Amino acid sequence: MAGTTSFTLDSVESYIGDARTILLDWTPPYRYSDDSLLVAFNTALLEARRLRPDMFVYKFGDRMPSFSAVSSEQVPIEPQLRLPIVYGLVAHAMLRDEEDVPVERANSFLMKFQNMLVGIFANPAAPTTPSPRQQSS
Amino acid sequence: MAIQKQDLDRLMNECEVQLPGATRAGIRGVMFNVIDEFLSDSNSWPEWIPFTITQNTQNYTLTPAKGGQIKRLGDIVDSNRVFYPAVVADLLPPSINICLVWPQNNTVSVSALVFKSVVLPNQHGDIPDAPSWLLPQYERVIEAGIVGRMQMHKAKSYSDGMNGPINVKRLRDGIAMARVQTARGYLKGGQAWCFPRNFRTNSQVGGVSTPFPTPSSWGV
Repeated sequence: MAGTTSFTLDSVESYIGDARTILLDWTPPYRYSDDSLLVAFNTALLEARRLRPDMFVYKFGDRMPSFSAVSSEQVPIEPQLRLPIVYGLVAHAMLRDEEDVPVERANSFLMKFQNMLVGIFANPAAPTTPSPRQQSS
Repeated sequence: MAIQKQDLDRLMNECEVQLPGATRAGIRGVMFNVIDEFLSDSNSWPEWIPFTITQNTQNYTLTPAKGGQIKRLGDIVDSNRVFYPAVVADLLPPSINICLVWPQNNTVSVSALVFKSVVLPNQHGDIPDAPSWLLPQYERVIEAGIVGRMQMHKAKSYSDGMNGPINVKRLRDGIAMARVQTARGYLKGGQAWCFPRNFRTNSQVGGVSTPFPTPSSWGV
């Protein structure tokens, strides 16, 4: 996928692009394929519907939008709630078993995602350094 | 006439400022319920519906011509201010079926006073089909109702269990004020007063005539 030029988080490609920035995965071949990030994106939307149904029910009822391609297709999320979706996407992608990404960091993004949807403040992301257990091994 | 854009924009902005993280779609969803509660409980959205009573026909359907759905029937009067008692036989939103208590011998043109509230479907942009005067007159009340109801939502970034009930109380106070203001015709110092029931009489001699030849059970 080419670099994104959209910073408004209004399309699928802008979400995936921002997630790749956080994941440090801009150089092909990607560690996280487009398909895996799309799955993570759609999963984050489903979790968002559980926590904040008002984001979707008034527009879609009991249906949910899902996206199958990294394209310029618009994502119907109001601006104030777009950043949590990026964090949810990143968290789900990081939860994959990766040796260089501690699970703590994935959990921290999951907490940011959830706290921003149902609370006021987002907790800080965990550092990228390996955990003490990993350092000692 | 429907809610004006400038009034709606101001209301949405005020609500959004007080409800961090709330979606505009969510605010509009709650807005419908709050406006419905306000209009239903205050009887502040009246409409006079003209229709013709024909001989020996007691059942009629009333449909509002200026939007909304009928919640209650007020009075049915003719041009001489003679009242025609009736009951609501059926609710068929936005209409009602009414049944006159007594059949009439002559054809007569009357007007029915009904009290309305908002009805689905909403207008374009999911805006409730409410009267244009609602927000200029009662914007603070509607705003308090929306904010209060949303603050009482569970597990949201704008949840506020302490201030939610306070804002809902402000809505209820506003409904009570609107009910009185409407009953008094928006007059300063006006009053919802009429002659007591025992001032009325069935005879022409008493001064207040009625259309009914015999005393009835409804107090005339």
